[in-house]
Amino acid sequence: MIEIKRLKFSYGETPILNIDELLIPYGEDCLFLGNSGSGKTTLLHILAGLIKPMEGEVILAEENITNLKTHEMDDFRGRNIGLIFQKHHLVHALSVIENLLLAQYLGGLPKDLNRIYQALDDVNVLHRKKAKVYELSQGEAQRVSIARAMLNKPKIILADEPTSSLDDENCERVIELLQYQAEKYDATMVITTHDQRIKKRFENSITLR
Amino acid sequence: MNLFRLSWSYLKCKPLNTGLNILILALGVAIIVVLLLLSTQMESKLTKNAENVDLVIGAKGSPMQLILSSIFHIDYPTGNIPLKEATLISKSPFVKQAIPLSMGDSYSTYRIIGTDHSYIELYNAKLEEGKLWDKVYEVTLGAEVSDELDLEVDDYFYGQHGMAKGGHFHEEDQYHVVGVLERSNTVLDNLILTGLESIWGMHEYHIEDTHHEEDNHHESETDHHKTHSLEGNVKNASLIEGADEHDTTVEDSLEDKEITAMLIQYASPMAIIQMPRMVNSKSALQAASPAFEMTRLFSLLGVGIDALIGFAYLIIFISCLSIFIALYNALKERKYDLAIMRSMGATRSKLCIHILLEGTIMTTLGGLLGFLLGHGVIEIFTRIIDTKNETGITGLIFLKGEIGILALCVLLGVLSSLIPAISAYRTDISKVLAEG
Repeated sequence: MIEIKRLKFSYGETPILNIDELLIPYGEDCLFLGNSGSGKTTLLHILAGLIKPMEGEVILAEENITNLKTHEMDDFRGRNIGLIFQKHHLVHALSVIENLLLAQYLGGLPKDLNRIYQALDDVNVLHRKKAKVYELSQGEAQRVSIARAMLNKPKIILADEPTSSLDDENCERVIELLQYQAEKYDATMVITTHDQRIKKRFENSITLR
Repeated sequence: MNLFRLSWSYLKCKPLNTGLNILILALGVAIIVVLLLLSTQMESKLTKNAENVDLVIGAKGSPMQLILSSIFHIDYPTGNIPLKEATLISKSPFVKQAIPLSMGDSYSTYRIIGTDHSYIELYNAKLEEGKLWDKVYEVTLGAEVSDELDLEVDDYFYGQHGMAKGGHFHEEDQYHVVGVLERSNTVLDNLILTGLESIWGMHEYHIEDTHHEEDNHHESETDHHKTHSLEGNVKNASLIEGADEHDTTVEDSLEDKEITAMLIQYASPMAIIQMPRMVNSKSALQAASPAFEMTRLFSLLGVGIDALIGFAYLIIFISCLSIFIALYNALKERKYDLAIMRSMGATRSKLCIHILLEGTIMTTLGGLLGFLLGHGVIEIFTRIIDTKNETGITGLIFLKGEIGILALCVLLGVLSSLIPAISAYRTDISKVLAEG
C-alpha cells in the first residue's frame, strides 16, 4: 500500500510536485506518465525515501517514511522496497550471483542461495549465475536487476523508466515480468516513465504535468 | 557477502592498479625492514662482543681500526706492540684483567688468534667437545669454524700467513685441534684459538726461513722457544707455566716478543678517565675505548641509515598518494554503484567503511609483502655474502619495532582512503540516480 497526503516538492522557487491525496492499495500497480521535468523521477525518489518532501506525508506499507531517520530509511528500503532503473546499475566488479548476495547482505537478510537461484530462475537467467556483469547482454542485465529488486520479496516495487532503452519486444517482456513478479509477491508497484508503449498494460495511470 | 569481500572484489577487478600500489608500498616497507634488521642486529652483535671490554691497547693508528680488528676481528690490525710494554700496563692498579691477543695468521680465512684462556671466559663460552689448548700448536675451534671447515678434535692443519687467501703456509708445524667450543653467537664462533706461544713459534720459523742461510744457528734457539719461552707474563697469565724454573730465560725471551693487542677490563671507574690518557700520552701505544668508538661508528652509520629511512618513507608517502588518487578517481566511476548500494539498504557508514577497507587492504598487503621482501632479502644476502655467518645477521627473526611499521601501514591505509570515504558518505544518492 502506498498513501500520499498533501505532498509538495520544489527545486528552489520552482514547484515540481503537488499531490493532495493518492492511495494505491496492496497488490495494485500504477503508472505515472510524463515528459522530462514533469517530476516523475522526483516522485519515485520521494517514494523510495531517497529525498524528503518539503511538505506532506508518504506512507508505505503502513510506515510513515517521512518521519524516518536516514539510517532507518536505509534499513526500511533494504527490506521493503525493490528499485529498478532504466540502466541496470549492476556492480561490475561482481558476478551475477555476487550482485544478488550483495543485495541480501545490504538488505539485512541472511545469506540464502536457494532464494537467489529462485529469483534468477523467475527471470530466466539462472544459467548465467556465474557470469560477470560485462558478459551479459542488455536484456540479461536488466532481468538480473529485476531479480535483484525482487530478491527480498519487497512490498513495494518502484521502477524508473524500466523500458525506455528497450525495443518493443523486450519492452513487452520486461513489463510482463514486472507485473508477474508484483502479483507473485502481492506487491504494490509504481512505474514512472515517458514510454507511452506501456500505457495500455495498466488500468491505473496518472499523467504528471 | 560482506564489506571485506566487496572491497576485495573491487581491488581484484583492477589487478594492475592494485598490484602497483601494493608493490610501491612494499618496496618502502622492505627498505625500512632491511635497515631495521641490519642496524638492530649489528648493534646487538657489536654490543655483545664488546660488553666486557673497557679498553683496547694496541699499536698507534686508527682507534676505530684497532677496535674493529681486536674486538670484532673484521679489519686488519694497526700493527704489533711489545709484550713488555703491554705487560707493564697490565700491572696497573686500574686493571682488573688484561687479555693478550696475537694475530696475523689464518686458516681458510678464519683467523688464528693467540691468547690465553681468559679470552674464553670473557664471553662465557663453553666447550662442545675436547679441551682448551694447553701445549704449543694446540688449537680450540669456534663452532662456526668447526662446522664450515669440517674440522674435528684430533685433526691437523697448516696455518697460513696473513688473513686473506693466498698467503704463505707455515709448513714447518701443524696445528692440532684439541677442542671445539659451543656456539656462543660471539666472535669466538669464527676464531681459531691457540696460545701466544704458537703464534710466536710459527713466526720465528717464518723469520728464520727468510734468513735461513745467515742464521742457521737460530735453529736450536727456536727449539728452545718451542719448549720453554712460550709463556706471556701478563696479569692472570695462564701462560706462565714453568716460568719459575726458567725465569731468566723467560725474561730474556720476552724482551723481543710482540702481541697485537690487549683487551683491558677496568678495576675501578676512575680508570675510565685515567687509563686512556695515561697510555696515549706516556707510551708508544694506543688506547681505544670500544664504547666511544662504537658510539662514533653508530653515529657515522646513522647518517646513512637515516637518509635511507627518509627515502623509504618518501616511497611510502608516494604510494599512499597513489592509493588516494586511485580511490578518489574510482569514486567517479563508481558513483552509481554506491548509489545503488544505498538504494538496496546500505547505510552511509557502510559505504564509508567499504572505501576505507579498500585503502587499508592495499596498505596492509603492501606492509606484509614489504616484511616478506625485507626479511627475504636479508636472509638471502647473508647466505650469499656472509657465508661464514660472521655478522650473525639473519632474516628469520621478528623485531618488536616491526609491529609499529605494520600499524603505520594500516593507519596510512585509513588516512589515504579517508577523503574518498567521506565523499562516498556524502554521496547524494537521489542526484546520482536521477543522472543515471
